[in-house]
Amino acid sequence: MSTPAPPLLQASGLRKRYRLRSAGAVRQITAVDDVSIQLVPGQTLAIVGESGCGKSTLAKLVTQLETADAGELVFDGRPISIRSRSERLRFSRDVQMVFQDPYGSLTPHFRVGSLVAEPLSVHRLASATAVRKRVAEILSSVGLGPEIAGRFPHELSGGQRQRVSIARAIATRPRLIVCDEPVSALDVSVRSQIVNLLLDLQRDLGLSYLFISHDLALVDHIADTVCVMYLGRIVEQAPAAVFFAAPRHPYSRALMSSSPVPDPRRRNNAPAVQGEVEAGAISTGCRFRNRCPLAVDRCAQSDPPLDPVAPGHLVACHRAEELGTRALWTAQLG
Amino acid sequence: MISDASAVLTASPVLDVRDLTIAFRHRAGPVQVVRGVDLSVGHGEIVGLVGESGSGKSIFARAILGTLPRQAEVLEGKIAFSGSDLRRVPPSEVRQLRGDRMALVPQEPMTSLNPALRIGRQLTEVLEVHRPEIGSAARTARAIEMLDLVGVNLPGERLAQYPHQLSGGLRQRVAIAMALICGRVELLIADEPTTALDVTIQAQILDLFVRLQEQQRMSVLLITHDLGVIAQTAQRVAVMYAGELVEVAGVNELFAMPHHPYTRGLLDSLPRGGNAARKSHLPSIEGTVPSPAAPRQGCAFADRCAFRVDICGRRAPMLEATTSGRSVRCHRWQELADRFACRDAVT
Repeated sequence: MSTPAPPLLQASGLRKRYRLRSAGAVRQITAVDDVSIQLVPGQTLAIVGESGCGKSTLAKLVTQLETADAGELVFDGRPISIRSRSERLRFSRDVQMVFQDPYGSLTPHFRVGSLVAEPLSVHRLASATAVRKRVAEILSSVGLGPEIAGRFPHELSGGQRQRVSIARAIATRPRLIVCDEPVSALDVSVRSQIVNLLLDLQRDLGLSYLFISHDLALVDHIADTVCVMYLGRIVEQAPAAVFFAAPRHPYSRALMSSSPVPDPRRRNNAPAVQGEVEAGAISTGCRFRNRCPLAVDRCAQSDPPLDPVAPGHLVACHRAEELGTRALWTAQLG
Repeated sequence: MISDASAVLTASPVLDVRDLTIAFRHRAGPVQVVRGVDLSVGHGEIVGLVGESGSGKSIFARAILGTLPRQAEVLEGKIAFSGSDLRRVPPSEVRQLRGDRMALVPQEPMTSLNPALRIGRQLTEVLEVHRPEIGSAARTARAIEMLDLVGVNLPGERLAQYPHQLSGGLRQRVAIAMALICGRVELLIADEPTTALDVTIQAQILDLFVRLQEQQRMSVLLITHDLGVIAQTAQRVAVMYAGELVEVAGVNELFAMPHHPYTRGLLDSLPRGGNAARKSHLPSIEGTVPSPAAPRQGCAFADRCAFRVDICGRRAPMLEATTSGRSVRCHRWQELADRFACRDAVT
């Protein structure tokens, strides 16, 4: 966190509301609520949380697939909002995305060669004669042979398809790739191959990743910084080493102790939290309080701000201070 | 929490599958997706069946339940449930067993619950079919009791709701209530029951499974691709690869000392976290699962195996019993067991 390098991407106060129509009534859901993040060049920022926490909406805001209702996005020192047309095109080259489902994200009637060539032609990155060679280079850098270029997506395995998605993403030589659960749909034995590929590409190309995942063990392995989101808000943000050594927010703790550890000697005794995420259930105070085993009166009165508890470690919990010092955890959360 | 697996196994098992082979009919001839699987589930035992997609684990479950898709058929083998061979029992009787003495909890209850029926109706319907002697008022009372048992809040009000009005976690609880409502379930088959759920909800549902299994003294076959889920709930584990069981062992033994190179590869490839390993390469199993239609010679895992020797490509290994009551399908297991030993899972 102490890296002096200017951030590649800085988002401040991002907010996105959606209108939902359910049972005739229209209600508003704030999917992302006052979220600020910062991405350092060459590093990985992981966004962790359960469904409905706003992590995928945040990804869409960062990639400009959706426009934020409020807040500012600064990429490479320039606010997105004041960019010219050519600068916007440049942004769409610099920021790419890899999705969870390699089945749904590749056009089925295009051959792999065309799929990988497409971003090259859109951004005029290779002449017609050089395209074939460049596609072969890109395929090779994601561990695929040139013969794959002639195949259709349905002829590939899940792992190969995800490699093709990654090939498309790196074709424009981006600086930031937003990865939305990139290995969740893959089989265990293939998952680590793709994780290794992402790590190699980051090292070789100096990429930054905004890595969205629900898998804490994986995040622990690849992230430099971790943000935990709950119902649209960041509730904890810390360098990965600090976070995994001592998560401070009760929700972070709950996530961690709910993750099934692949070790039968370390079985969870009881579920860490009861209840489920309910959007709109809480209008005042802390959004996690109805599930929080440590909630007190204060939690119902005001929404805790995301405040630093140590350099680079932010927590949105009224009890963050005492939770850092007292052994409340062992007593109440197990 | 783990009861002694050996004590459990002395009684005759609830489910005893022997040499089960299942094939899909295909223009080019039958394609075997489950090959000679032997697996038993003892009384009150939770057996985990782990495998990747296409390993044949779900088709195996459907064969037991008698719900194979039309293009699939059992070629060989025996499925003994509480002593009777289900392959010799008429389909109408298997249908009677299903939902009564054996039941399924599917991955995504949205697909198994009828979207057009209220929760109450779906629950009481099971009783109408299997327990016709129970009157209508008692059926409703039983439905409420079951919802309460599986931790659904406001059970009375839920009866009038439709599946889409419930969250994924609640729907899965309803599916579990439906599976257990007859009160005579001996074998519960759960096929990826928590895969579609968030991690805090997964922890709640797994806890529910373990509690219900103890309370109702039922047996559970838990099918999953998630080794974490297995480690947290199962007593015994069977590992399936390309239609075959490659290893069967008690959960502690399997995780402490996997014998098969595939099991070992799976366990090693899991990220363990920690600062020392951060951003380093994860061990991985190269290549992909072979197609079930591909001709097979020798060990199915040979192409991907780091310990492959000549014989692996020529002769298919048998599932062999080891000295410690485990079984493993590998020519080199004895020699490798020493090498894989002392690997400490997580400290």
